[in-house]
Order: sequence, then C-alpha cells, then structure tokens
Amino acid sequence: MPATVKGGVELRKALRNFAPELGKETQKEIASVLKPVVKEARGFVTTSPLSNWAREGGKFPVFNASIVKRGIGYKTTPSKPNRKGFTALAQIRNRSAAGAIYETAGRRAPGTKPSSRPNFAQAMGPLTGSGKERGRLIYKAWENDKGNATKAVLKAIDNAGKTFNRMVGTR
Amino acid sequence: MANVVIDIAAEYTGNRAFKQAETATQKLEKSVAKLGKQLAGVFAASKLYAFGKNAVKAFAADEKAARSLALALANTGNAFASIEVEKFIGDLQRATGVLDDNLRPAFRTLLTATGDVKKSQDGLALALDIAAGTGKDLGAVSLALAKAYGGQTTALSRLGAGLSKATLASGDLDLITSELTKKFSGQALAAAEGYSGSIAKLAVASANAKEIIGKDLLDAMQMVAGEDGIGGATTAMESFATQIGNAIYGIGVLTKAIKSLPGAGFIGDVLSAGTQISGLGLLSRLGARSKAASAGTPAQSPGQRKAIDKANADALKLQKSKNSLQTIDNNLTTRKIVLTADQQALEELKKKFDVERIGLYAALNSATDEETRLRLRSLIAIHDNDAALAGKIKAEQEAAEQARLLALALAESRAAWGAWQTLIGNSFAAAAMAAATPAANMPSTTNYVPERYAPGDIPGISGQRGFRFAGADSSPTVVVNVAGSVTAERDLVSAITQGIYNNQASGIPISYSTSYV
Repeated sequence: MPATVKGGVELRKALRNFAPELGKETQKEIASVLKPVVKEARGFVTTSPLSNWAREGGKFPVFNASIVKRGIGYKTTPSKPNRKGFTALAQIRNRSAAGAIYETAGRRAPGTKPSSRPNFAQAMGPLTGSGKERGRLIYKAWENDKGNATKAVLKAIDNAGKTFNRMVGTR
Repeated sequence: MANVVIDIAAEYTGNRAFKQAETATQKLEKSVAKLGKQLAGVFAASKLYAFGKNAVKAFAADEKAARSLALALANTGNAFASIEVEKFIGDLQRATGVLDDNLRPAFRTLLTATGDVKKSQDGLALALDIAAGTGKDLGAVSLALAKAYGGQTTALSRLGAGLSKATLASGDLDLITSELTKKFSGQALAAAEGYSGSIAKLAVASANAKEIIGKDLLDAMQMVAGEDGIGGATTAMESFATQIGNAIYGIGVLTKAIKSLPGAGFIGDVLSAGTQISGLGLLSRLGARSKAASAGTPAQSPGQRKAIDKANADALKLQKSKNSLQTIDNNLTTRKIVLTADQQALEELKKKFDVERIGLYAALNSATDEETRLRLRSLIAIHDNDAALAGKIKAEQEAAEQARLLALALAESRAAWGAWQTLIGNSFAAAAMAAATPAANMPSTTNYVPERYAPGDIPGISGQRGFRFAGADSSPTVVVNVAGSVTAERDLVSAITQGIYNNQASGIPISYSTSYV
C-alpha cells in the first residue's frame, strides 16, 4: 500500500500552470531519488534465469536481458487513476513482458490459478518483499531501499508545495 | 500488456471523480440537448439574426474592454506590458474558467489603484481565489482589494473573508494579503478543476467562439457595406435575413407538400436533409475559403491567437536581446573610456621619465633669449605630439617676426626723417644768408645760377620727388630720394598699437623684454 497524499495532483497541475520551472525542478528532484532504485533493479537482471527461456519460438515472451533492462524505468508525472481510484504521483515500472514474468513468477501459491510450474518459479530464485509487493527486480530494489525513496519523494512534493504557497503568498 | 509498477505517493481521486463524471455527463447531456435546440433555432432567420447580433455585441464588448485596458496600461506608464498582460489574462482565463470579460475590468481596477503591472497581476490572482472561496463577484472583490491598496479596508471587511479587526485596523497590506492568501490559496484552481470547472471552461470557449464569430460577422458586414459603411450593412443584413427567412419558410412549405404526397415521404426527408446539410456545408466551405483568401481580415481562432502570442513573445525576446547587447556595448564603451584615461595617466608618468624631454626642459629653463625659448618649446611640442601647443608656438613665432619687421621699418623711417630735417635746416640757412648779403656783393641775378643738388647729394633722399622754395624765381629743384617708407606719426602709433594687439592675441605678455625689440 503506497503512502497516500492529499492535494498532490492539484499541486502538480498548479505547478504546471503557474510555476513550470518549479514543477520541472520537482520532477528532477524526484527523478534523482528514483534513479538509484532503478539502477539497482536493472542490476538484478541476469543473462537468462532459465537456459531455455532465451530461445526464440512460441508465444511465450522471450527473455532478452537488454529489453528487460530497458523496460525498467521510472515516471515522475501523475498516472491515470487505477481501478480503485488512486493516482500515483511517481512510479517505478517494469514494463517488458519477460521482465514482468521474471518479476512476479511464483507469487501465487502452488495449486491456485493461474498456475505456473513450480520448477519455473523456483529456478528463478526467491521473491523479495511482502504480500502483493513481492518481486525479483523492482520490488527487490524497492525493498532494499527500505522506504528511503518514498520519504524523499514525499519530502520533494512537500517542499514544492511549500515553495509554491510561498510564491503565491508573496505575490 | 505487462504492467508491473510501484506506486509512490498515491492520491485517491477515484470514486468521487466517477460521481462527478456522472453528474457532469447528465449536465452535459442537458447542455447538448439545449445546444441542439439552439442550433435548430439558429436555422430560423430571426434566431440567426439574434445570434449574429449577440456575437457582434460580444466581440464589440471584448474589443472595447481590451482597448480600455490597453489605454489604462498606457496611462499608468505600462504600455510596454500590454502584450504580457493580455497573455496573462488569456492564460488565467484558460486556467480558471473565468471569462476575460470579467478579468479585464478587475485587472484594470487593480492597475488603476496600484499603477504596477506585477502587483495588479498578483492582486488579480488573489482576487480570483477570494471570489472562488467566498462566492462573491470578482469585480466586487477586486474593487475591495483596490480600495485596500489605497488604504480603505472597509470594503474588504464586508467580503466575509474572515479577516480580524486587528489585521484590518493595522492597515498593513502585506499582512492582510498574506492572511487572505493563507485562507484562500488554491481556491480558484480548485474551482477550475473537476467537471464544474470543465463546464466553466466550456462556457469560456463558447464565449470566445461567439466573439470570433462576431468579429467575422463584423468584417463580413464591412465587406458587404463597402463605401456605405456599417449603416448600409445593417440594412443589407436585415433584408438578407428576411430573404433567408422567406427562403427557409418556402423550403418548409415545399417539403411539407412533398411529404403529403402518397409514397413521397422519403423524398421529402432527403430533400429536407440535403438542402439543410449540403447548403450549410457549402456556406461553411465558402466562408472558410473566403476567410483564407482575404489577407486583410485575419480570423481570431485560438490557434491563430496562439501564433500571434508566440510572434509577440518572439519579438519581445528579440527586443530584450537587443537591449542586452546595447547594455554590453555601453559597458564596453565605459571600459574603453576608463582605459583611455588610464593610458593618459601612464603617458603623463612616462613623460616624467623621458630623458630627451627632461633635457629639452632644462635647456628651456636655462635659455635667456626668447627665440631660443620658442624653438625649444616647438621641439617639446613636436616631441609630445602636441598639435595645439605647436600651433600656439607657431603663432608666437609669426608675431615675433612681424614685430621685428615693424621695428626695422621704424628705424628706417626715423633715419629718413632726420635727413629731411637736416635738408630743410640747410635750405633755410642758405636763404637767410642770401637776404643778409648787400646787393653789390650779390652776383648779377641774370648770371645767378641756382644751386642744384644732384640725386644722392643729400643722404637718404633720392628719387623723383622734388619741391620748390617759395619766393624763388627759378626755384631750385630739390630731389629727395627716400630709402624705405615715410610714415606719418599717426600711422606709426597705429602700427605700434596693432603690433601690441597681435602680441597679446598670440599670448605674449607685454613686458620689457617683449616690447624692447
């Protein structure tokens, strides 16, 4: 469960409309916080977790380390609301198909659907994290970060809000 | 598509947004239905006329407000900020959904009170927040703020903004605005967000569209009127509307008649739809083509406005670059002047250690005669490349030469005068002796041969000048030859005075050494 904020989306819109420079600075600040996490996550990508997975053929996404690494990134602008109505102010993403499989395989308990072969998940190593936020790449890096990035992002947004209010207040 | 993401700092905007979307959709449906009815009504000639009239009125009001604001800016010495202010109002209109018809008067009120564009912009932003927060009219809020800038806080207290009496009584505008900002910060933006804000923005777009159509209608009317002016155009428009109305009525009657024929309902529908849609389409295309073809009547579409804004901004940027270049140029000139002054100081210092110059000055100090001094000064001037001093010395030398020539002429004239006096004296002496001698002793006058003087006998007198003595019968001819010029006393005095003047003009002091030449 991510930390929730109030007024963040409005603040970002206000920054975009009335203080674009401050908005850009905030984005840069958030990016500087997220970059190390992304770098660490990319470092967890191995050549091929399973020897057969890198072979072409079939409908199953082929594991290509460079594509998986390229698929790991971050986003510093607000996302669209998800199904539950939450809008994220920043995101770390693992967007490639093979990367997503490598990230999440083995989350569900054996015997539940959609099922995956236990050998497949076990061969890729253990998942790091808790609950639904378990994974081998971005979730692992996020877990290793121990919430420091979240704090820094929230601080950056808070600072931007204060600066913006000060700007408006001193008008 | 795989979507494995970690959300950071999420905000709940979901269900409420859906509810708002639902409400807004219902409202939008109603608006669309109303718009449909209006559009249907527009096809009627009277409605078309009324719409056109309203559009023209809206454009005229907009233009008047813009012109009034430009004048207010010019009157407060802020004419240069006209483009910036228009852009600011345009941006604010798009961001807050408040019509520029309301923003411009509010800005003008604040500008009149503050006389400063920046303060007025800040004041307008604050006024928008307060108006959104309190539900009061923007005009009233901006007027209250303007009065507060002038020291009257009564109107501000009546806004219901919750300002304490102590704050109001302090009259400290910074304190008042900071408290107002604290209370109402972000209200205008919050009001502009969500679907109610979207509808407000839709209203803004609609008003803008009306203004654009109004401008084009006015242009079209002027085109139609030609030399008769707008008066002729209004008459033409009314008669045109009547004609259109009659034609539409005629089409209606015709369609109804065709529909009433057995089995011809479909033909009637097609005719009706075809006439309206294709006719409208043709007119629309014709209008668009004509607008594009006429270079003198630019359409004020949002895209074009944006382009104009961009061009203006570019021009402003260019002007700023020019100004900065000018500043650099000025700085360089200043620096050059400073360097020249430094260079001069160095030259002066260098002169102090110039051995040749020192020698020349030593010689000048030890020289006693004026001519040598003048020569030495000339050499110093040449050495220093001092053209002014050289000119002065040259004038002095010329004056000295003139004085020398004058003295020479005086000496010559003095000698001539002395010789003439001697000659006269001798002549008188001879005459006196002749008178005293007895007649017997006198030689016969018949044999008397007057004494003649040959040229050169009297020193200093030569040439053709001669005179006779009075009383002498065969008077002797005295030929006086003058070497030089004979000058009268008056002329002499005049020549000396002129010489003194010349010396004074050349800067030579009148002293013993200069007058005794």
